[in-house]
Amino acid sequence: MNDVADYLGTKYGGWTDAAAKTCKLGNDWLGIPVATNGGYMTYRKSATDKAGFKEFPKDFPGFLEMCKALKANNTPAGFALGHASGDANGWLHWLLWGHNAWTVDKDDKVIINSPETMKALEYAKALSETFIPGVASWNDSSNNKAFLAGELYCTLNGISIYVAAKTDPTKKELAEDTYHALHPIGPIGKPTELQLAFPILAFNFTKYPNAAKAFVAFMLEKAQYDKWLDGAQGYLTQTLNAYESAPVWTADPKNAVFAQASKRTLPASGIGTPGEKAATAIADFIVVDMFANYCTGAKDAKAAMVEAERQLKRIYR
Amino acid sequence: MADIALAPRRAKTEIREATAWDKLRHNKNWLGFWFMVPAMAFLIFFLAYPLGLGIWLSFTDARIGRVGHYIGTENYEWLWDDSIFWLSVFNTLLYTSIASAIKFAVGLYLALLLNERMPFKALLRAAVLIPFIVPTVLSALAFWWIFDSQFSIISWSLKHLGLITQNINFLGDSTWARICVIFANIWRGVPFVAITLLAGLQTVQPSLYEAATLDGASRWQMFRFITYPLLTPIIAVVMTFSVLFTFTDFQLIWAMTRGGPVNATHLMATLSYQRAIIAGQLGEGAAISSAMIPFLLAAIMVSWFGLQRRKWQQGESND
Repeated sequence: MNDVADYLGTKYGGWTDAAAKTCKLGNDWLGIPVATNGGYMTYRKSATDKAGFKEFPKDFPGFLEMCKALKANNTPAGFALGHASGDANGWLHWLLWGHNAWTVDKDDKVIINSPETMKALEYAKALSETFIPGVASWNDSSNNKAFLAGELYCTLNGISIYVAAKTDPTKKELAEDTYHALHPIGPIGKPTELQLAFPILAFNFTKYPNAAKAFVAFMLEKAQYDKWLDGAQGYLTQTLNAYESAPVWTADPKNAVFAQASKRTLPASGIGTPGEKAATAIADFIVVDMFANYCTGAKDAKAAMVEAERQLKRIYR
Repeated sequence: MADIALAPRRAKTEIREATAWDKLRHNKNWLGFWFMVPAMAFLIFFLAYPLGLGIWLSFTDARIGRVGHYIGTENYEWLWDDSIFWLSVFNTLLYTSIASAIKFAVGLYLALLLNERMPFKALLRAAVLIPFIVPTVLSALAFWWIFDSQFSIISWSLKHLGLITQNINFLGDSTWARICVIFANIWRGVPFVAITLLAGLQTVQPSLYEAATLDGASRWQMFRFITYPLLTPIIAVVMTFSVLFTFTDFQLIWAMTRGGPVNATHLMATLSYQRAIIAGQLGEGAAISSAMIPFLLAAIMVSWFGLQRRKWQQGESND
């Protein structure tokens, strides 16, 4: 796939960092990152305005203050603390990484048991106290439903909530009131989002490797890819920098935030090596359970951290 | 024609010694064996082989898409110190014992009720089966909605009646979540117990009750000394199945809570699935499911020896 990646990369302004890291093993491309699935802060402007935040907070303390104010106004925020593969992993990894806490370091040594993680846990606990009740039971669809029903006023989600509201004539008001914002940036001082990249692969045993490659290249050419992004309605973000100017991002100004998903995300492994082990850790909800254990009061912070450390050490042995 | 009639009869073929093949051909057991082969092959391929493979996998570090290497009991040693695993064992035992006990009580009560003479008997009996007929995932999804943290009909009704001011956190609170999944399991399992026990009740001869009535037995005595002893073999079978189904339950939990909140409703089956399939650690997942075998064997043994004992089946002094 190297030739395809080089060809597309040169022609379209290079690959985003996270997408390249996700798809490369050493210097070889195993697949082509075809898109990133972006999730961003989705909020009701009327509620955040009323809470006194004309602009969506850009740092962690501001974000906490806003969530507190939202709760005081009875227009709470809510982020999944259940086994929601996309939503819960998304916001909790952002929070963890934002505090400069990591599951593993760049040599894949487990470093979850750290003062930084402790800070992330404390922050998450304070934040979760402002949430709408029931987040511990949430799966990936729960926040969509609660938001669309007008009970939830700020959450982290793909563009699907907005698209659903926009296409439903009875939800016109809600759609107009719905805005998107980038994740606030943590003490680490740079974006630490977790947005998953989707690779497209060709089998080793295919009889027609060149046809497969040609198709991948064809799909990511401007004539096709612009339309494809358009069809995804903002749910998918390009991994090639040149497509930042794709029509989908300007068609509706509220889509624009999602154009940055691939640029602002880290690979799913954080600063560690992307691969099977990182995927296992995410799929087994290790970080999610650590936060949920502490936020729901099932375990104290230390015990939650030690448990996560023990599980991670087994995966990264 | 005459020559035919006159032709000497062909001498009878001499009786030859029966060869081993002949013996085999007429051996009923040999034939029986071949009749059994299809069933045996079916059981071996679809039951014994997967079971064996599962146990073998639990001794390897197999991952999805990759052959494992033998690592001895490492998976088990790891699970021995894993608090989530023990939590899932505790959850499974709690879930099974409470749900089975209530299912038995309610099922027996329903069976006795349905065995009485009453209007629309056939219709009622059919209606009882409905929870059992509905696909589990469908009913689980319905329960998921009923217990939803935001849209629960129960919270909604109570709120409109003015009894509570906030939604009940059904699936977000560990105690509530356990109650909810156990309730859903009971709802689903009662018909099986009720209908099977009803079948058992119908085999009890009415003459026994007549005799008891003549002897002046009360309703309770009739139940205690006639119905119950005659029903025990069926109870043993039904409860074994009920315990096995409950212990290995997966769909209800997966559809309703995914093991949450914070693993408070993770059963061994769901944890095994999460570790083996979702997280790709086949070996560890296999070890969790293999760890269920001793519990299930114990449940089977209890009913097996129960069934063997006549005393248990037929009342006190009959050995």
